[in-house]
Amino acid sequence: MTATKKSEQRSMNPTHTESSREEFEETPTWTAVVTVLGYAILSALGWLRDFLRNVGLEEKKTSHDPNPKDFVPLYQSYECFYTRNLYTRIRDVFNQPIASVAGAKVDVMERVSDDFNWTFKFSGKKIPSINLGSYNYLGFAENSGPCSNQAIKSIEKYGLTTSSTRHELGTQKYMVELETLMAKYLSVEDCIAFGMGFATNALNIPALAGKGDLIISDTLNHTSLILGARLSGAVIRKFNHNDMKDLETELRNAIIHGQPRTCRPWKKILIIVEGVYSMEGSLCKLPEIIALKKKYKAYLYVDEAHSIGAIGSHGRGVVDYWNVSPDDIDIHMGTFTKSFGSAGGYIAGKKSLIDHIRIHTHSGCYCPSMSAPIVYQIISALSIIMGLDGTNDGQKRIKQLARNVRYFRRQLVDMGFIVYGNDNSPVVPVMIFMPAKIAAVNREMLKRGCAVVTVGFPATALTESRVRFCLSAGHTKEMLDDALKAMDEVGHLVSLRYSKRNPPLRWNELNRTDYENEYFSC
Amino acid sequence: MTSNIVHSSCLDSKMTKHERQWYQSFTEAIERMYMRFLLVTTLYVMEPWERYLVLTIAFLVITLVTYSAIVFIPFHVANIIRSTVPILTDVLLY
Repeated sequence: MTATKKSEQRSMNPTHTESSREEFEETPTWTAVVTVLGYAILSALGWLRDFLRNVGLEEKKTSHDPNPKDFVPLYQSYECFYTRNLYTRIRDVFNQPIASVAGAKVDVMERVSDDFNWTFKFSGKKIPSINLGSYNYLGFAENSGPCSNQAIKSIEKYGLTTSSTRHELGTQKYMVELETLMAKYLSVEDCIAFGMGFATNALNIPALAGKGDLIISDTLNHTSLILGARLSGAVIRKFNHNDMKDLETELRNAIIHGQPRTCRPWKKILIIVEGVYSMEGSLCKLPEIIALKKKYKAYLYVDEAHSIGAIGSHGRGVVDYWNVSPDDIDIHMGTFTKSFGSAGGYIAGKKSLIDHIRIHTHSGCYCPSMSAPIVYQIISALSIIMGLDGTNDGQKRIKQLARNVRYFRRQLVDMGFIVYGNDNSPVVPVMIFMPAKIAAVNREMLKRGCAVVTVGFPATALTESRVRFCLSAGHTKEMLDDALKAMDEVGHLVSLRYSKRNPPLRWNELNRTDYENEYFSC
Repeated sequence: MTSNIVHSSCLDSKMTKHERQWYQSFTEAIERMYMRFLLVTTLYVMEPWERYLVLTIAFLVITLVTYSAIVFIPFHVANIIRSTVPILTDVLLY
């Protein structure tokens, strides 16, 4: 079936209308006040410590610039003050080294520090824990199984590297195979793959937009998109997160007023959104964006890094979830890092677009091409997902992930935690707000055998720190139950049940037969 | 540190369930309140000397405010009553 035939048969209705709510509950006032006061106390202490360090009463443990005369000081912004005085106090919960495959379970290496997190020593102990931090949505991060066997065989056949860029001798047979397979998966005309997901955005947006163009991007877009937009030299305007009225206002203003000084019309307008936003867990409102794009004749770039493979009834991303035609999106972009258990990124779309990118991408002449085992991991994962290997393992994984997501999310929300995002997104952010609780939640969850990722400033806003669970198809129901029990205890110890919409309940007070029936029925 | 106590008390509690009932839940509640106090006031992330410093400063401020309240408020309240009540009674009667 060609892509055009498929588009005629699609409708605009999403496949999951029953429960695709997206909620961002407001911060309770008392909590916001206490959080800001907490940051104020820590900032005051930070000034005191900085003063002691400058005077010489305390030893300077960071690298410090000598501040020579007539030179602008290197460290000026709030972020460096934050790193020295707030981040270092709880540094042991970030960047934790692991000692095994980061699959559904992971071994975290234990570290001890004598001088309040300035230096670490390994105690030698490995803590086996449930991995709730890896972007392992379909469970392909394994070191045994058909994918890794194929990757090992490919090393024997092709070696590890081509030592060449795509424009020279780097286009191996497996690259062409990967690109055709990916194009078939997404139902588009052509696709091109790159070695690094971040670089796919940062090095290709300059090839697509330039001076005289306008880029309208969501406020919560990833750094790679922002970097690519800035490198391109186009004018960048932002619209509020998932706010379609704001987007329409921006588009209308852009078309009415034109370029800033000359008032000439823009050469092109590019709207950049993401499929699933990794810090919020929200999905983009694709049908409405496509309607706006067609009305105002703009181009659309969708970054499906977290949604490809994880969202949609067949795992084809937000296009599948909202049931829109893939021809309506001009540039499909995604990464192989999350659902396929590998590394790299791709851009897909019409053949003319991909031909242009093949010539004009910066990575075509500066970056070496992808390595053979990585490509074969993707190819075998893709064949499993598409069902080309003859089993229905791919569909089983997709269904298992959807089941896990609904089970986990519903119980967290009903226990009284503030959980952001769409009901169907595999990224589950639970709000913590206060700075000291970031460290407490991480350490307590690790003691109870769950390795989680807690995030604060600068990845999120200053007062909106959260713990972000990433669910996987590799998690069994017992693992999810253990994780929920641990979260329940930690939430009780640390008092995380802020929600005003749902009353605070302990895990054994929930009516669990209800959830279990849902889990086993779908 | 406090969390260790709570967690170990949870583990011990499984073994001696009979003795647990009357005092263990009380100590657990106290430990939990102490943990929440440390977290809300961000004393949890501070080094020991910083904790003493912040608590000392907070204690001094609270003492100062309480002292001023106890010493000065009765005088001010009496003063206000003394200066307004005669005038009020005059206004109301005439």
